Amino acid sequence: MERTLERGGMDALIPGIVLVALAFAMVVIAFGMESIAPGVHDTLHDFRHVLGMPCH
Amino acid sequence: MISLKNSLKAGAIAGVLWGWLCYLANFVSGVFPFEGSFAQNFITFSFGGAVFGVVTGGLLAVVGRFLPFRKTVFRAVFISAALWVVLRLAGDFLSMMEPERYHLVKPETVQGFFLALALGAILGLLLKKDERATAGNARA
Repeated sequence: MERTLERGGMDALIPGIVLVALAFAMVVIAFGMESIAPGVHDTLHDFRHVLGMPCH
Repeated sequence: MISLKNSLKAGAIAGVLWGWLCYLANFVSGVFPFEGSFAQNFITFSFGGAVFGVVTGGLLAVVGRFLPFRKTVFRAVFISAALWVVLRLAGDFLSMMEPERYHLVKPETVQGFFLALALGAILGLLLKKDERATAGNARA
């Protein structure tokens, strides 16, 4: 039973971690945070403008 | 109930499709003149769309059951639009703090909002199709 619970927890944990990591990535992309990911501003510049997010 | 894993998968597929739709919509509307090449934008719009799609799909699985809508499509559209509004409000805040760096353009904002609705619709339809397939398998 312990093993089943452990497995169930891991099955939910991994998608949860993926979701949190990608939510953070989404914020970095949306605002072009160069201090966190150098190059993200220029790389996703057009995408950000098309979505109506603030840019220079 | 939609599982988080299935919702993330559907979100990734819907997001990539939505990224291409974003490119096409802006190409037709001409709201923002593209600065990058087609090849570069094809990759970045696919990647960016997938990230937005996965987050929307994940949120739908986590908070979707608390929303006052019965249909998955409406829930997905609501979450996608709400996520866009939150990001946009944060953008407003950044624009107030650093007006020289962050500019907001009205036509891009309107286009972005409609595209956010489109992401929800694509994701909702994909999940609906998935739910029907699962129900069909369970009956068989």
